[in-house]
Amino acid sequence: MMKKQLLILTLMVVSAFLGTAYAQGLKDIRINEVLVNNRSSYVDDHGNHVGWIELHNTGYSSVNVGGAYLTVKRGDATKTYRIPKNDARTLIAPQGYVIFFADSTSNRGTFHTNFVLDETGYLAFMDQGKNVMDSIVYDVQAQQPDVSIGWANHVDTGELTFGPLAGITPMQANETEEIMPAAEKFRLRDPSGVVMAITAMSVVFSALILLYLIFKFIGKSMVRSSLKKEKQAVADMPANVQNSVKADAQLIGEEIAAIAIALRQYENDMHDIESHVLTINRVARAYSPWSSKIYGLNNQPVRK
Amino acid sequence: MENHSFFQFIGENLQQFLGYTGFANVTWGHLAMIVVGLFFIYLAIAKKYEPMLLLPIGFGILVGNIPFVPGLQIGIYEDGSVLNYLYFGVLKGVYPPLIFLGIGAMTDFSALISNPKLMLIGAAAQLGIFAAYMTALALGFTAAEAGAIGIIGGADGPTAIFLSSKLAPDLMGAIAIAAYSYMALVPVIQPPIMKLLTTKKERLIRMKPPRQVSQREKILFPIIGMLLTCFLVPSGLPLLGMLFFGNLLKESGVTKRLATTASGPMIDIVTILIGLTVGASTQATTFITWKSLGIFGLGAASFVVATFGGVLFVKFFNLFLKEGNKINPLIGNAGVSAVPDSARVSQEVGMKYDKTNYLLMHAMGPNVAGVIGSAVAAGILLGFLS
Repeated sequence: MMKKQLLILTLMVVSAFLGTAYAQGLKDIRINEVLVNNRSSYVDDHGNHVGWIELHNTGYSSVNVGGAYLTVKRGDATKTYRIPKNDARTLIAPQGYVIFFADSTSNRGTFHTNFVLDETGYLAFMDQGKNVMDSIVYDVQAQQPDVSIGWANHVDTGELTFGPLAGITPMQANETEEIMPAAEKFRLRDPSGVVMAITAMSVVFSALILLYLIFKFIGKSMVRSSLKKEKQAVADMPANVQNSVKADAQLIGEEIAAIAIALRQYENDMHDIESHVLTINRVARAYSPWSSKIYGLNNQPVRK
Repeated sequence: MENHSFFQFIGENLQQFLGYTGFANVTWGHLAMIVVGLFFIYLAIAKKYEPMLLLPIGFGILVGNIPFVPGLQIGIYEDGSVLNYLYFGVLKGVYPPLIFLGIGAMTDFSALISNPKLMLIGAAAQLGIFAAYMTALALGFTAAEAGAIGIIGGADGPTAIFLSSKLAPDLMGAIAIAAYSYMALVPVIQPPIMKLLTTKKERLIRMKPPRQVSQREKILFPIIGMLLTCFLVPSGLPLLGMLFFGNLLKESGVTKRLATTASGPMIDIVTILIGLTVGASTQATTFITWKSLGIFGLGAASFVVATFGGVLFVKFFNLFLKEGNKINPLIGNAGVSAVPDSARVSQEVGMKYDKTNYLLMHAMGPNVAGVIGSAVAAGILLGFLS
């Protein structure tokens, strides 16, 4: 009982540990798109064109960014904005987005920071303990009007890279150039398909060879242990029973199978009811008390 | 005057109604596909070729090729139609893993466990997949299309549907129909190749009767099998995970009800849905193309190569086996996983040469190994090409 409780406790501790270790939370938040030089694109809730930061929840559970920080200069309180805690809008839905306007007027509401983006060329998102969860570095002078920077798939490699984007997409997935599908990239490197054939056949063989080796080993150990048990069981029997068991053991598998089939057929013949089918056979027996002349009504009374 | 406009109104209405009927919208393509559907139904009922699949597919072809005016939300490709909702399970690859669950729950891996070297035949027979892949590339199909076409050689309908729905959804109807048609034609395609590649002496080889397998081994097989194959090819997880899970339900001995449901009512329901919707997806406009013809040709070739691969591998393997442990090459064809048809072909061909040589149980080993092998191969193609 004690052991069982200890096991349950250990499992709970391990699962709690694993839960903590893999809980993503604020680590799922990414600085997805930033527009430093906003001349005529997206306007804030006061109708102004100001620089903005788009945060994206890359995870599959909601994350509240309330209490976290955005900064353009770490350690400088005047350039670090603490996101208010008690605003329901700071809860970012799975795969969702939220926009912060960098207009240095934090008194305008939750989504207005106390810094601007065209000073330091650095932007970081930090957790409540001011540990950096994500950060970007950019060249302020190189920022073109109404051209945002953000994460997008590279045209050639398909890898996710940070840089100028093809279009401005606030509160949406970033626009990416059309990239070559993985299959066609693979084809460019292996036009005849030989590499694929060799690789895939090797993997298929490896998988089944591994299974073969494992079950060869398991099979052998199983046979060995069953023989051992069998010997032990025979040894425990009285001498006369041992002899009959030894005689039976000389039967080969096919004989055993034949006997089993014969027994099965015999058992099947014992009754005539199949699944969902009732077979009514003609009774071959000629005599029945019901048709017996002895009990017939037309018998003459016998005088004794 | 009033009467005139009344009859004119009726006439216009009737004309409009006629415009909506199938007769007004029919094309030669629709009629050709309806003939194909009827042929499938004939094969299923009269010839009993894979009736569980060819009948729903055949009727599905009829359903999918009733001509109609688009926009009424009735066609399988029209958003919001009932058929479109049912087709979702095919498009997103939901049905094939459910079928694999049922297959797992009805498959007995004992033959394979008792003689694990037969697994290698199941691997060798996957050669057809990659031969078809290479040929399809040479014929100008895209890499993704070639991968989807190649899997026909795996002789596994659900796997073919699963992979083609991911790699080339527009070719799925043709691929599924080719896969199921050739599976039904296994008794016609394989025997000549088996006879061609084997000598009379080889056909008479008697194999040791399989040993009895303990329940512990049967329970360990799906667990180890799943962990090993899925660690190696994670992209095969939907198929392999469900296959081995279904088998564990069967072998554990404690979930008989679940195993019965998975291998009975559930697989029946999913088979009906997959057959009907795959059939209905073969609308004349999308199906009657040169590509479909190419797919049928490549599918046949892949079956032939797969059979070659399986039989020749056994002959090669026999070079390393001692007398008495040799494998009858007539079970090599069973590596192509068309369960249990190809194993039955081994038995029938074997019986022609020795009436007392029962190969069925031995052939079931490579047969079920072929299911695992083709699912692994599908996972690899998916990993590289998606």
